Amino acid sequence: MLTALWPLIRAIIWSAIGGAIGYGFASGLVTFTDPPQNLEVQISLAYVGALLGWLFGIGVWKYWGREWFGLKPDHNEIKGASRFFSFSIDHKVIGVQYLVTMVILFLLAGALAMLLRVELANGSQNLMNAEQYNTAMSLHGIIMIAVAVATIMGGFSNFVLPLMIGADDVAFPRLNALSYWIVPPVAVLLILTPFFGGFDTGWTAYPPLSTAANGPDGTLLFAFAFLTFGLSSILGGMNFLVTIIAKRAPGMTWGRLPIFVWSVFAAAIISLTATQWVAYGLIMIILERTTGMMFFAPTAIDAAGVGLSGGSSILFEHVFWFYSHPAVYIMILPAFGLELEIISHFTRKPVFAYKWVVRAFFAIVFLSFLVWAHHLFTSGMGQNLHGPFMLVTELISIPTGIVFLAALGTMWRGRMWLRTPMLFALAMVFNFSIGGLTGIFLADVATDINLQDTYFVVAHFHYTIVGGEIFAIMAALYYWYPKITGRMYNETLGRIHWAGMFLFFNMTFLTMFIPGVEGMNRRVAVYPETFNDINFVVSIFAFLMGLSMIPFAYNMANSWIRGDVAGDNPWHASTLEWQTTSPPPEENFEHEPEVFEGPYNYGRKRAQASQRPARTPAPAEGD
Amino acid sequence: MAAETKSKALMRGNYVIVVLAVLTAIEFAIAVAMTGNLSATLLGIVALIKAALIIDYFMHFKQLWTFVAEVWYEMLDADPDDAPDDTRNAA
Amino acid sequence: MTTAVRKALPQGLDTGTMNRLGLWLFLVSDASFFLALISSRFFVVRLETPEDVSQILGLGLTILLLVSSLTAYRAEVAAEHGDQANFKRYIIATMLMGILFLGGVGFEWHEAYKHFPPSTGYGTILFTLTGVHATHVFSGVLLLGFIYFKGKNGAYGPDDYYPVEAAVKWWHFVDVAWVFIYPTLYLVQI
Repeated sequence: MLTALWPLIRAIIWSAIGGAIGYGFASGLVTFTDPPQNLEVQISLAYVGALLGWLFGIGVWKYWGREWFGLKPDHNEIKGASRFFSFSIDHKVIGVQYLVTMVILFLLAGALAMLLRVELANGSQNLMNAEQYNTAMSLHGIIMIAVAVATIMGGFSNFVLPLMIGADDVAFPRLNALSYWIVPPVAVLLILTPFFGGFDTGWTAYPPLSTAANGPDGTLLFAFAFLTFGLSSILGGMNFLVTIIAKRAPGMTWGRLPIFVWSVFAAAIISLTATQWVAYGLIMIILERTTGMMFFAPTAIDAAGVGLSGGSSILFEHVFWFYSHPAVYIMILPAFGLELEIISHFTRKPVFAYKWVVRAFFAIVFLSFLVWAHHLFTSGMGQNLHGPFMLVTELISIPTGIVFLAALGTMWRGRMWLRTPMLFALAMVFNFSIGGLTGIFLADVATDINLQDTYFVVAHFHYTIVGGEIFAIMAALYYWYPKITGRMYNETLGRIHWAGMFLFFNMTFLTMFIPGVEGMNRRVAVYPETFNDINFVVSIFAFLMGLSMIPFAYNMANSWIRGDVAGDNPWHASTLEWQTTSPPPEENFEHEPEVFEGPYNYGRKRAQASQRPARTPAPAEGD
Repeated sequence: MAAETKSKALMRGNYVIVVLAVLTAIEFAIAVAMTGNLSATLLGIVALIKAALIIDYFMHFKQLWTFVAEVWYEMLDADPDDAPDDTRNAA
Repeated sequence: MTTAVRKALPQGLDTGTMNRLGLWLFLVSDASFFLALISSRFFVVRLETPEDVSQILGLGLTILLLVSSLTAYRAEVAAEHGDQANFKRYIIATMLMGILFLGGVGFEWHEAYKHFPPSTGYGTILFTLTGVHATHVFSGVLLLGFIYFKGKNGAYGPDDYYPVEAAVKWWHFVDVAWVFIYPTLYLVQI
C-alpha cells in the first residue's frame, strides 16, 4: 500500500518544502516593508510555493523537468490499481480520477447542504452561529460549483470523448494529467478555510466584504482555491478543443460527431476564454488584501459621497460575472449534450434537428458573453444598460428552446426504453423547463429588482444546475457505468435513487419558490417567524432528497466490486465508445476505428445489413 | 513556408519593424496632439494595426486561422450521411 | 512525446500541428486575461494619466520590446534554415533586451512608488499591468534560455525547430500585449 501511495507522499513532501520556502521568502520580504498587519503575504507565497512543490513532486519533474534539463525522460508508467493515485497520462485513468473526486466532493457539499437545512428548519439559531452558517453556505456553494464545472468537463469528457471520436488519447496527455492534479490542492484549500476563520462572502466573494482588512484569512484561501481551479479549467478546455479538432478517427467528419462532443467543444471555448476574467477578479482581491491596492475602494470621496478617482466594487461584479455567467453554460451545455445523447440512444432514434442543435450551442456560446450584467440590475450599474442586458438575456432562451425542441423531437413517436439513464434524462427535461421558465422573471428588470437575493433565486438556480446538470450527470454516470467499470449497476437501486431524487428535489425546490416570492432573503441564518412553517417543510423534503443519495452511493460502490459483468455494449448503442471492450484497453481500440455513418443511424436501411455505423477493421484491408 | 528563402524572410522582418516604428511615432504624435476619447480611440486603432502586423507576420496567424475557418465551414455544411470527404483523413 | 509511451495510431493530425494549435489556443486564453487587465484601467481611473509618468521610459521600453521581437523573428528564421551561428546570436540578443526591459520596469517601479504608490488609483493599475506583463517577459526570458542551452549544440534543425518557434511565438505574444499596454498606461489623456 505504501508503495502505491509513494508518488503522493513524495508530492506532499515537496509541497511542504515549497510552502516553507514561500513562507520564508515572504517573511523576509515583509521585514523590508511596512510592519505586517496579518499573515496574508506569508500565506499567499507559502501557498504558491506549496502548489509549485506539489506539482513538481507529482509529475512535472518526471514529465517536463527532465526534458528541459536535457535528462533522459522517465517513461515508467505505474500499472495496476495504484495508477489511480499517480500522475497517469491515460485519459481513462484521469477520467476516473476526476469522477471519483467529484462524486466525493458532491456528497460532501451535499452533507453541508443538510447542515444548512438543519439551521434553516426554523427562524431562530439552532446549530451554527452566523459566521459558521456563512462559511458552511459559502463552502457548499463553491464546492458544488467546482463539481458542476469539472464533473462533465473533467470526468466524462476525459473518459468518453476520446473514445467517442475514435482517438487513442487526448491531444496533450501530460497536460491533461496536470489539469487533474491541480484539483486536489483546491479541495484541500477549501476544506482548510474553516481553520483560517472561514469565509463569509458566498462563492461570489463580492468586495468590500471580501477585501475587508479585518476579514478572515479564509477568504484569501478561497480566492487562491478558485484561481487554481480556474487554471485547471483553462488547460482542460484547451486540451479538448485540440483533441476534437486533431484526433478524430478517419471518417469521423464534423457532421458525424456525437452531439456530446459538440457540446464539449462549445463549452471548452467558454472555459478557455472566460475563465481568465474571474482569474483577474480573484487576483485583484488577493492584491488588494495583501498589498493595499485600490481596485475596489474609492481613493477620494467628494462632499456628496461620490467616488472621484479609484476603484469601485462594481468592477469586481463585472469581471466576476463575465466569467461566472458563461460558467453556467460550461455546466449546462455538456449537460444538454448528455441529455440528447442518452435520449437518442434510449429511444433508438437519431437526434432530431442535429444541425440546428449544433448551431444553437454556438449561439449560446456567443450570447453567453453578452448577458453577464443581468446579475447587476440591483448593484448600481448604469440604468441605460438595464434594457440591453434584459433583451440579450431573454434572447438566449431561443437557442435553449431549440435544444429542448430537439429533445422532444427525438422522443416523438419513439419507443422509449425506460432504464435509469433514460429516466434521469427525462427528469432533466422536466426540471430544466421549470428552471428556464422561472429564469424569465429574473431576466426581466422589473421583477428581478423585487426577487433579487431572495430564495426565488436560490430555487431557480438549483432547478437549472441541480435539476438540469446534476440530473444529466446522474444519467451519464448510470449510462457509462458499464463502460467505465466493466460491470452493471443494480437497476432496482438505480430506480429507487431516481424516484427519490426526482420527487424530493422537486418538492424541496418548488416549495422554496414560495418564501422567495414573499421576500425571504437568502444567505441569512436567522429569519422572521412568518417563514417558519414553510422552511420546516422545505427542510424535511431536503433531508429526504439527501437520503436518496444513499442508494446511489451504495450502488456505485457495491456494483463496482460485485456487479454483474456488463459486456461491451449493454445498451446496443451505436456510438464508437461502445464498439470497444468494457473497460477499454490502454490504447482504446484494438485497431484504428473507421467511421462510415453518422452516430445515431438507428432504424435506417444500411448498404449492408451486417455493417455497423462504425467498426474497427483489421488494418490488413488497406485502403 | 519552407519554400520561402531565408533572405526574403529576413527582409520581410525588416519591413515589418520599419512599419512598426512609423506607427509608434504616429502613436506618440497622437498622444502629443490630442486628448480625450478621440485620442484614445485613435490610439486603440493604431495599436490594433501594430498587433495585427506582429500576429500575422511574426506569429504565423495562418496556423490558427486555418482551423477556425475549417470548423466554421464544416459546421455549417456538415451532413452526417455524406460520403467521407475528409481528404485529410483519407490515408 | 507521449506517443513514445504507447503505440501511436496513425490518425488525425501530426504532433507538430497539434502543438501549434494548442499554443495558439493558450495565447487566445491569455489574451483575454490581458483584455481584462486593460479594461480595468478604464474602469478604475478612466483616461486619467498623471503628469509624473515618465514618457521617455515608456517609449524606450516600447522600442526595446519591438526590436527584441525582430531579433526573435530572425532567430526563428535562422533556426528554420539551420543557421546555427545567427540562431545563437539572435537568441542571446533577444534575451539581453528582455533582461534590459525587466531592469527598465524595475526602475519604473522605483520611480512610480514615489509619485503614485499602489494605494492610488493610477498606481494600482500601473503596478498591476506592468507586474503581470513583466512576469510574462520573465517567463519568456526563461524559455529563450532553455532554448539556447538545448539548441547551442545544434539540437534544432530545419525539420525540428518547433520549440524555437514556440518560445519565439510566446515572446511575440508578450510584445503584442505591450503594444496595447503602452498606450493604455502612458499615452491616453483626459
